[in-house]
Amino acid sequence: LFERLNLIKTIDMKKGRLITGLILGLMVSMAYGQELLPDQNPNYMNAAQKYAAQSAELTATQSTTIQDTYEAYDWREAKAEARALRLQRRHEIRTLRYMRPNGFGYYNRPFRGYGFNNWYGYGYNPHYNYINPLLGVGVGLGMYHLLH
Amino acid sequence: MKTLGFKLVFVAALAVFMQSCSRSVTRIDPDKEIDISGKWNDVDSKMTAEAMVEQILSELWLKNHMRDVKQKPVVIVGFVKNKSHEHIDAETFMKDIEKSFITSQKVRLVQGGEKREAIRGERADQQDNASVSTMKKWGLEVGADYMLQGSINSIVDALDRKKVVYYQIDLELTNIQTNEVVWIGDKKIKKFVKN
Repeated sequence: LFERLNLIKTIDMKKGRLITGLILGLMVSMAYGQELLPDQNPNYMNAAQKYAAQSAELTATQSTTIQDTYEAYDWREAKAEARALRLQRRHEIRTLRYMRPNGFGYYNRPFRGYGFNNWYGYGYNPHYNYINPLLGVGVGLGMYHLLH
Repeated sequence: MKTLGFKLVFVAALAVFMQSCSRSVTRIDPDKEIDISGKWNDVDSKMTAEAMVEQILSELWLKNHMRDVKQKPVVIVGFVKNKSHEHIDAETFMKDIEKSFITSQKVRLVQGGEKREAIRGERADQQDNASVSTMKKWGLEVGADYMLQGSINSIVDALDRKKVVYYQIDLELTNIQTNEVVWIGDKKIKKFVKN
């Protein structure tokens, strides 16, 4: 019984392969056997296969603007850029000055140490004698009010 | 008298300060032409759209197509390449052109790019979720006859505070079957900017 069943299976598999082969052959023959239009290039299938593979990529930019700009000189922009660069440079120089271990700027250092005897030593503090100009104006106005 | 004078000066100074801090917004007519920086703006986009619509709907390609095919041409919009010195989005004037196709009823328009992908995604979704009677089928889209493509170029001539900017916007319509360019439209804009 098993032998008979195996025989049936083998016959079915053979039939299946035969049918699949026939269908594939038919499809290929239909594709290649398609009549060419007048003056149509017989190698058109090469191009069709090539572009079919990348059609999604090629149509992705449809209805969009591809930005491929260049930089042109603009007096105002150039001036603004130069100013920004100058300010940045000035800021960097100031930061470096404050970062100096035994230099200026006690309070603006990233690490101030502990107590008076820290290893940074005593540097000149630019803010030590700093007086807010608004305070001066306030005092002046107060004095004026008192005297008049 | 002196106190009054001081008060007046204080109030005036406060008013000037408050005025300088306030923001003012006014709705204006979209057709009003306002140039501020001299860069590409809505006025240029509008001028381009008007010129292109006039050219594309009145030139020979349309008559030739109707004569040969006896059906309205179907157009798909391709890309526009901005090769100028400024960031310009062509969609502002391309949409006006597309709109003119539909309102004039002379040209049929099909969707492309991301929007077409979204449409196909919805169609795919319908295959599982919509009722059989309302489900849309594959393979029945309208194929375009022509593709509309374009480019934006610019030339800048500047010295000190003076600048001349020239924009050239070109649109081309190409027959998808034959690769033949059937129409080219352009709009040239020249500006003199003094800073």
